[in-house]
Amino acid sequence: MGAFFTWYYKFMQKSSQILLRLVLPALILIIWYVLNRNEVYPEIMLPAPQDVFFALWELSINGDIFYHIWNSFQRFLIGYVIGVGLAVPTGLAIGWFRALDKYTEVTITFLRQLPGIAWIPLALLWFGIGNTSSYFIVGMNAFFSPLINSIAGVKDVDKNLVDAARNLGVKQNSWFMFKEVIFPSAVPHIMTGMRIALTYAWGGIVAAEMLAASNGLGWMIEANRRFHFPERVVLAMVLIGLCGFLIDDLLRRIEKYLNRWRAGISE
Amino acid sequence: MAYIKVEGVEKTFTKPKSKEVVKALDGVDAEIESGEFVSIVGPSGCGKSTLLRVIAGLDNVNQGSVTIESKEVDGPDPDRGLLFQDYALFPWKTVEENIEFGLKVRGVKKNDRISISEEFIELVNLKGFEKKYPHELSGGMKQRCALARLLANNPKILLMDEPLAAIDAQTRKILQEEVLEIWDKEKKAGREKTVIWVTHSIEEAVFLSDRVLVMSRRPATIKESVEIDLKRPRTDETESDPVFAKLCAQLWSSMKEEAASAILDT
Amino acid sequence: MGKFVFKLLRPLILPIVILLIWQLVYINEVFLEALFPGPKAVWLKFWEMTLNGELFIHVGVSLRRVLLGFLLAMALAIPFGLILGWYKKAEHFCEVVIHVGRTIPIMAWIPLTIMWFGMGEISSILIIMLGAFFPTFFNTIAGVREVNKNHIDAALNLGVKPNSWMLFKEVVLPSSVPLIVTGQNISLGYALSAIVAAELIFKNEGIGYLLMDGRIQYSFETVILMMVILCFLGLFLNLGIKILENTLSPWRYGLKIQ
Repeated sequence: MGAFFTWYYKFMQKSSQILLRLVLPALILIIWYVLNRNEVYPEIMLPAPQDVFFALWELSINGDIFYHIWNSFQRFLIGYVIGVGLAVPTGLAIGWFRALDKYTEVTITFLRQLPGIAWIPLALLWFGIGNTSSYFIVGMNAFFSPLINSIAGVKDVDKNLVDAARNLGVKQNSWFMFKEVIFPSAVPHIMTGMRIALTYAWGGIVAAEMLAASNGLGWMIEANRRFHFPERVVLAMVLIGLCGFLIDDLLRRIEKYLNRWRAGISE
Repeated sequence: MAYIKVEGVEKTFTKPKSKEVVKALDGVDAEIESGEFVSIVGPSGCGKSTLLRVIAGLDNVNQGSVTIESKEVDGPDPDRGLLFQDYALFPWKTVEENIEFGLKVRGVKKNDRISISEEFIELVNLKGFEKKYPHELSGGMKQRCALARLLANNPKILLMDEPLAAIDAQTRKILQEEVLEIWDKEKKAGREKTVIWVTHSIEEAVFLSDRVLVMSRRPATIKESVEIDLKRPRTDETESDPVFAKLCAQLWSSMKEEAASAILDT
Repeated sequence: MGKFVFKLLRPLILPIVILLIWQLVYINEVFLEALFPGPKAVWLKFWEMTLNGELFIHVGVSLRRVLLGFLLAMALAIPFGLILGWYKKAEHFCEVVIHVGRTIPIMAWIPLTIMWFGMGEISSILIIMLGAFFPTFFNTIAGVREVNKNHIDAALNLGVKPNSWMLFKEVVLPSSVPLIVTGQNISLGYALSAIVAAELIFKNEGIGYLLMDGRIQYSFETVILMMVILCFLGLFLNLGIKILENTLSPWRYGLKIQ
């Protein structure tokens, strides 16, 4: 009997927590619906919430939405891989060879100030509208975070671990030292850099598609604004947010698995 | 001819942030025989760790020399195993993999590595924990793992840098006895080791060693060398021996004024 | 002495080498002239724009918008963050909406902003605020959450009442400063990104406008010049924040920075 009450109490606690979280979104949806119903704002500015769902339905049926999502995702992935694939080895090399670091530090600090978006006009001039532009832009967005984090990962290795390895016979600047001590130690930093790069890269593909592509979620937002389909604009925004979230979540799980030897990682 | 000879060693270093120049060792002389268990006590920050690192070959001397069997020390070597105060276990490797590490460096094959490391895992009483990661171990267990990692390479010299400082008093007493047991077992197995043990606990030093060196405060020299005339094996009864208390008192009176003035060292 | 001079000038070696290679490539016409103007052309463009005042006007406009948007965002993000960090219930209440707002990249908000507010000054400032808001906001919440429990217990032990204003003001608030500051650094980056994005699309003066204009007119010099200016601007703003940090909270090195 007592067990039932404990369970009941916990259940009520849990559900009240969930309910509290749902109040505001529900409220917003209701207000949105009412505002639209009473035509407080012109349809152009505020599409009806149900229209957004219909748009999702419509575009799913004719496959358009999947076409756009697939294109966005594909370009994003390629650009991300290129960016990270270049950044991590470069960062590790710069961290490992002190001389390189001294020569490049200021230049990197300078270049990283540039917002990813600022690369778009240059990309347009060089590659025009199309996939290459997207790869370039996403790549640039995804470059600096892993680069800097990889450099830090190598430089911040615990000196005691290096000394312990030296004591056990490893030569200071050897490949063995790098492979067995430096690199494993740097992995958490690298993963952090890669996760940050993900956010920037996803933002990058949206920006790139708004200005330099002819399909994809980013294009969908901008084009539908011009074609006066506000419900599709909102739909695209929601999908962009959702995809971004899912990708980030996936990477977070991968990171957790790779870092299982670390005690208590705080998010 | 002494096995380990430290002659006139001086060591200075600059503090990274304040660029202050600090003289840690100022003419340290010591002679240690093969197979001896020698402790070094001294006030905090006096340079005990620095001396160990110099003997290990991890740091260079500015003056003087360290010779082992008449050969000068020239860089680190697994033959002079250093046990760090914070263990320095590789957190991404399991207990097993940590212990095997020295063997891996020397190119020993995987199968041989496993059998050798198994032997030492048993020696330090870590059986059953082979696949655990360091963060899953208690302080005492981490220390055992670090010790096994060194022993697996059969070093002739063990340099212990306050290994039990971060461990609670009860576990510490147990580990002290364990260390002596292991030292003895290795000796009987034909793997005699010379041990230099740094600690700030006089009782620990007296309990463990054949001889205790007292280090002065910074810039350090060896102030005194005291023979420990207690029977082996050392047990709980050793501490009730009146000679024990006398030796502790003698060492403390030597160290007290150094310790008092060293409190103000940054 | 010579060594010191070398150390000082060393970071410049790489950029100079890059510029030299760039200039050599340009002169030897390995690429089309239009694709790769030499650094000299960029330099000349810089002087041209400085002398006719264009540069000052547009940089000034962008700078004004960034500062305004950034400050407004801080004025919202920090108090909001402190409240939501302190009162767990409030955080649960707003959680869903905030996560939705966070996962949508800044650029994605632009079309909606255009639909609602047009392409003017207000839209620009709003976009910047949107970008700068979230990093500081989340870091502030984290800052409040991750106060060292030992510090709180020490205060309680010394007579401070739990959940009181005094506890908040004397312990929680100062403790959260490092994280808030880190958040501000990130926010600044986003703010800069946002203003470029907004000006690229709205085309209403500013660095982003010139950037896009350069592309339309096939003027590589302008595009590259604007990019360089953005880098300097970023450095300058970051320096500003660093100075602010140091004056407001020099003690923060005693706290562990996550």
